[in-house]
Amino acid sequence: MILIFSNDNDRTAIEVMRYLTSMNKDFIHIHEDEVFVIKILKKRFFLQSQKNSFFLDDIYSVWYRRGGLQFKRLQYNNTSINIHMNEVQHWLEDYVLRTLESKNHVNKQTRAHINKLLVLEYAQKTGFDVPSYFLAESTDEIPINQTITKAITGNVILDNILNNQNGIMYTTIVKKMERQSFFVSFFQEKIEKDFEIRTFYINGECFSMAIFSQNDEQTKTDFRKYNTKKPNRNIPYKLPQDIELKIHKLMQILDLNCGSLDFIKSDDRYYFLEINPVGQFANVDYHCNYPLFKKIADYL
Amino acid sequence: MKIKVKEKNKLPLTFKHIETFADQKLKKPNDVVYVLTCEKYQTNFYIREKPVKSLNRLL
Repeated sequence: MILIFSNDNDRTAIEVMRYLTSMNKDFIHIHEDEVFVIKILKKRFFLQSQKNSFFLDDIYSVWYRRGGLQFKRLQYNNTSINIHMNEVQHWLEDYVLRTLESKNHVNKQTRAHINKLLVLEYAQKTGFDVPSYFLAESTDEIPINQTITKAITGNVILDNILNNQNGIMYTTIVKKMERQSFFVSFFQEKIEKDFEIRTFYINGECFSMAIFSQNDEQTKTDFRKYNTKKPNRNIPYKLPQDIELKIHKLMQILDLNCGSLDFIKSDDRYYFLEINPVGQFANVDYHCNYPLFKKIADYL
Repeated sequence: MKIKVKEKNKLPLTFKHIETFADQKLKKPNDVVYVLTCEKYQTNFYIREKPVKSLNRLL
């Protein structure tokens, strides 16, 4: 049995499930809102939620797409009993998570969120060109119009920040000095790009797509500011072998066997920007005709 | 549309550049049903339209 963790509205997971169905592979699709209780039946770990149930030892492959395994924790009135029982429950949950991660897997729940600052440090040590970056609380020492700012979080969307409106933090160029200081923010040298590259990595293989976002004012700084009337041109792209080897090395350091990486191509240099272990790759599959959904289904 | 956020504590500079977009989930429901509940794929977000790409491949 294969376990798939995803958000409910994740179309990518559905595409992979189509392939699994055609391959006659059985799977359980676990949603982000499911809460599991750990039970023992006939000396075997048995997990049960509102929608699903399975024996832990029946699982042979796991795809951590998004969401994750959540557990129901019992609370106890007596404080010291509660602390003790919290630990008991923690170790049972830890056993389940680690056992699942030890199976054949595509990504891990515990490695789904990575620190962007550490990733940049590791990328530099791996030998990637990384645009110079720093943190600051004011614009005093920031070269105006030559620096971008972006969030250090994985998620850049703020749900319902206004009534019926979500907020999104795109990468933006710092165009003016700020009078007041602000919370620690991330700044990076702005690189004039020839084009952007999004690479989907899985188990040592790289599938790259060039995104020609530089000629459109709307998508110039952040291609995710999609121009729906005149979309960017996206084509399959082959990275040089040494860059692909560096990607493989970096992913191994980060203990990731799948993820999406962003690069900027500028003259003859490839600038590393970031990795998203659970990033979207359906667009890379569609635009470039890569068999990415099938790759995952084959591996599981 | 850019928004102004008022908080007692300081926020990163990225908050000055937040842009908004309408939340699909919060939109008033209309008569067109785009997603379906699908038992086979254990989801209630099965997209109703057939993907264009698959059609191209078939042709």
